[in-house]
Amino acid sequence: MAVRLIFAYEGGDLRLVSRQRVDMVTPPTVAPAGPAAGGGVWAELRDVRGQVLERRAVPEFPRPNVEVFGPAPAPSVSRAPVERPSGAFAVLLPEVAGADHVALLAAPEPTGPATEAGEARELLRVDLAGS
Amino acid sequence: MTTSDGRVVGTTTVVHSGPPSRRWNLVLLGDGFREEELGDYAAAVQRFVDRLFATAPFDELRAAVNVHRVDVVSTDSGADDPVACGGTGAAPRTYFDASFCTGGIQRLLVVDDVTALTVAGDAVPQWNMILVVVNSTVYGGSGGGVAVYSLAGGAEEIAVHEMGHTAFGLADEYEYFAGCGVDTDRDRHPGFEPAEPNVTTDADPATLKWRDLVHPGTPLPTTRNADCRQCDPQPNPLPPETVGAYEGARYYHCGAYRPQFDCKMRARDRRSAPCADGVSARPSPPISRRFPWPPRSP
Repeated sequence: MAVRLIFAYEGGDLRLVSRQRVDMVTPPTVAPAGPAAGGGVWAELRDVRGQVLERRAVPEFPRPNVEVFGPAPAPSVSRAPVERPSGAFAVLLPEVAGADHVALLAAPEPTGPATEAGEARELLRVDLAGS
Repeated sequence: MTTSDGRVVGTTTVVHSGPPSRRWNLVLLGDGFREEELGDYAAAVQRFVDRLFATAPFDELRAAVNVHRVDVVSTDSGADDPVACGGTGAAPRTYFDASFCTGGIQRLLVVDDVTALTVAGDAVPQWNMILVVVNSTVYGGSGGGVAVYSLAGGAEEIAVHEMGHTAFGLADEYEYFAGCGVDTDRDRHPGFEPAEPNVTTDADPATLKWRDLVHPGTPLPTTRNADCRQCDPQPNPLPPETVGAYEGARYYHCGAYRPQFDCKMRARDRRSAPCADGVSARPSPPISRRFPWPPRSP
C-alpha cells in the first residue's frame, strides 16, 4: 500500500488538498533527493522522533520559471520566468510502519563545485496520525 | 470554466499489460471535447500511444506500462485563447479550464491541476503520470505535476519530453535558459554534480556516469565549447546516436555534459534521438529498479 498526497500552491502559499491510500507499488524515487543531491525540493516520511524513513524528490514543485515549447518548423524548448507560479502536484510514498508525518523541504542549489546545497527549509508538514 | 462545464463519462484501458497495482500507469484526460468529439479525442490518444511506444525506451517497456484514457465531456470545444497574447479571445466552457497565455506566454497551455489530479485519482488510483490532451490546433503545452499538450502538429513531442522528466527523472539537456544568443549569465555550470542521470560535470572516462555505454574509440569529452559566452555552434562531429560527453547541458554553455549530441531532452524535435542510451546509462536507479515488476508477472 501507498499514500498519495496532493498539494496545491499559488505564489508562496502551499496547502494539502487531499490524501489517498492506494494499492500500488511505489517505484523508487527517480532522482536522489536532499541537500546532498544538489538541493531542490523533496518529501521526507518520518517517524515520531523525526527519523527519516523514506525520502522522495519532488521535481514537479514549481520553480520560478517554466518550460516553453516552440512549434514547427523550428521546434525548440527554453525556459521563461513566471511571476506567480500556481498549480498542484502529488507525492507518492509507501505506507511504512511507524510513519508519523511527512515534511516537504527545500534547499537552494549549490553555487559551486565545493559547496553544499543551502540549508534545508521546511515548507509544510502533514500529520499522518490517525490515518 | 469549471467542472460544472462538463462531466466525466468513463475510463478505457487502452494498453493493458497487467494489474494497475503492479504496473506503471499513464492516464490521459481530454479537455475541450464535446460529446460528439470524443471520437476525435480517442483517436488523438491512440496517436500518442503509437508515438510513445515507437520511441525508445518506451518501445521496450510496453509490458510494464498501462495506458488509461479517461473520457471527459466539456460544454464547449477548445481552450481559452486570450487576446492579450494575440489569441482569438475565445473562452470556451471546458471541464479542466484549459488556457493558453499563462503568465503572458502564448504557447504556455495549462489546465486546472487540482481537477486533473482529482479526476485521474478517481479513475485510476494507481496513476504514475497524467497527460491532458487539449482540443485545440493552436500549438501549446506545459509540464509539471500534470503535463498538457494540444492537438497541433508536433505538440505530442511535448508529452514525450515531459515523460522523460517524470518517468525517468531526466534533466533538460539544452545548454541555455531563455535561448541561444539571449542569455548573458549561462556561461558555466556552477560545478556541483547534478542528481539527474543524464547530465554531469564529470567527463572523466574513469568516472563518467554513463561510461559503460561509451565506445572505446569515442573521445571524452566528446565536444568542447570554444566560447562559453554562447551556445556551441559546432555540428555533431560523430554519427547521431553516438554516446559520449558533449559539453553544454542543464541550462549552461560550458561545464556540464550530456550523453548524446541531440535527443528529446535537448531539442523537442521529432527527428531527435530518444535519449535511450542516456536513460539506460543511469547507474541508479536503472530501469529494472524503476520497473521492479517483471513484465511476465500476472
